[in-house]
Amino acid sequence: MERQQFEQLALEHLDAVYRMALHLSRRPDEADELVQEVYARAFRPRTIERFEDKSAADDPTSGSGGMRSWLFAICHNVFYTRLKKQSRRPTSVESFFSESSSETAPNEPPPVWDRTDLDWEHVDARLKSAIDDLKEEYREVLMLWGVDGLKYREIAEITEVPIGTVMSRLHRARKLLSDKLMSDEKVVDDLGLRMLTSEPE
Amino acid sequence: MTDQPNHHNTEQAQRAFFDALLQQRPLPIGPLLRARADDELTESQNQQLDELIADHPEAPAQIEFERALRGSCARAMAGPRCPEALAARIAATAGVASATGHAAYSADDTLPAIGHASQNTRQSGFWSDRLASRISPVLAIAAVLLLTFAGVLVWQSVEFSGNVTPVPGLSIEQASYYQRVSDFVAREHTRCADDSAAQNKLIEHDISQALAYFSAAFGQELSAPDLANARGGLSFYGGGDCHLPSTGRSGHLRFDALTDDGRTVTMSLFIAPDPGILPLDEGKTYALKSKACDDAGAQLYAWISSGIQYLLVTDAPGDLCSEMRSVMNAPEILGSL
Repeated sequence: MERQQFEQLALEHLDAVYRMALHLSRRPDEADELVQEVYARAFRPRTIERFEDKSAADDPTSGSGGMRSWLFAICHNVFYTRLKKQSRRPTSVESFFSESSSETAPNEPPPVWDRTDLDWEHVDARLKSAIDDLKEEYREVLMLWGVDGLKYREIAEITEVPIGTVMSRLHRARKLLSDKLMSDEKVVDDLGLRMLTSEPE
Repeated sequence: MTDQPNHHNTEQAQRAFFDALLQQRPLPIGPLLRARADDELTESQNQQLDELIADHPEAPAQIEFERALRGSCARAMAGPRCPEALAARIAATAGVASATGHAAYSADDTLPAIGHASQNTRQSGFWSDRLASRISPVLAIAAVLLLTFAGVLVWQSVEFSGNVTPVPGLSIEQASYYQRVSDFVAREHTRCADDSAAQNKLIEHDISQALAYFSAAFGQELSAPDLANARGGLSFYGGGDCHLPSTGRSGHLRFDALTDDGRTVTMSLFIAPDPGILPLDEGKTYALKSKACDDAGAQLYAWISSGIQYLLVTDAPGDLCSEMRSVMNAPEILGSL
C-alpha cells in the first residue's frame, strides 16, 4: 500500500481510535497521548511496508480485519503496556480457540422483561454512569462490540484472548449493566419493568 | 508491533466453536442466544438453534433484550470525537512523514536523545558556563523576538506541509477535515457506483425504510426527496451505514438517473449529524472544490439542514445536477467557503 493511501486510511479511523483510548484511559490528556503514540507507531515506514489490508474486498469500511481493527490492536497494546499489567503474548491461531478460557462463558440466559419496547432512550443516561464504573477490560469489549460493531473473533484478535473470554467478558459487562440499572427502584418504576424470568439453567 | 492475524482461519475456528456449543447437552442456551442476538451464528447454526429452542417461548424476548441493550450501549458510548487540534497534529505528522520518508514522531527514536540532553542541562554549572550574566537587556529582547519569529516559521512549515492542502478562509483543522471528508466521499461514491460493491454496503432498498432508519439513528426527522416528480427517472438504489470521518453515525444513499442521451449517472448523498467543523450556514448550498472529486469526474455540494450535514457527490451534468439538488431539498442559495 502506498504511504499516502495508508495514512489517509489510518486517519479516517481517528475518531474511533480516540474513542477507544478515552474509554480505556478515562482521561482526555492520557487519551491524547495514547492516540499520538498509536499513530506514531502506525506511521513508521517499516510498519507501512508490512501492513496488509485484510478487510473484506467488497467493503473496506467494514473494519473487518482491516485498518480499524489493526489500529485498535495497537491502541490496546500500547495502553496495557503502559499499565505494565501482565504480559499478553500473541496467541497462535491454532491455540486461539482451543485454549480453555479462565473466564468461561456463563450459561445464564439473558433476562426477559414484560415489555420488549423498553424506553431505552430513557435508560441511556444511567447506562453511561454504569459503563464508567466497569473495569477497563469490560469497557473495552463492550465498546468494540457495541459501538464499533466488531465480531467476537475480531475482538478476540485485538485483545489477544480466546473467543470464550470475549463472550464471558461481554456477558459479565452486560449483566453488570442490567443489574445496576434494575437495582435502581426508580428506574424500574419509571420503565414499568418486571422481570419474568432470569433463572440460570 | 502487532501482527495481523489470519482472518480466514479465525473465522473457520469461530464456526467450529459454535458448532461445538450446539452439540453440548444440556444446551448452553445463554451464550447461544447472545451469539444469535449479535449475529455471530451462520445461517445453518441459526436454523439448528431455532429447532433446539422451539420449546423456549421466552427466547425471542431474550434476544430482543440483548439487541436493545447493544443499541443502548452504542448510543451511550458513541462520543466524543477526536479533538480537532489533536486530529490536526496527527494529520500534520502524516504529512511530514510523507514528505521525508521517515516517521515524523517516533518516541523510541527521540526520547532517549531528549533524555540525554536533559541530563546534561541538569548538570550544575551547565547554564552558568554558557549564559553570561553580562548579556545586555537589548540583546536578550532581540533574541526572544528572533526565537518567536523562528517558532512561527517552523509551526507554519509543519502545519501546512504534506497531505493537508491549505484552503483560503479555513483553519488548518478545518482544511484537514475538508480534505479527509472530500477524499472519503469521492472514494466511496466511485466505489459504490459499482453494483457489486454497492450491494454489500447499500443494503436497504426502500427509501422510506432507509430514511426512518437514519432518522432514528440521528434523532432527527429526515425529509424524503420527491422522486416521483423528478426529471431523468431519478430512482433510489439503496442506503446503508457509512463511516464518514468525524461522525459517530452516518449514512450513504445512492440514487441513479438517466441523462438526456440515455447515460446512467449516479448520485451519492452522505448524511450525518453536523460535526460543526466547517463554517457552513444553514439555508445555503456550498459547491466545494475537491481534487478527489475532480479526479472522479464528480462535483461535491454540502449543506446543513436542521443540524444534519448533507454531502452530495454526483457526476451528473449541469441541469440534471441542479435538478438532483432540488429533489434532495438542497437550499437554492449558493454559498462559498
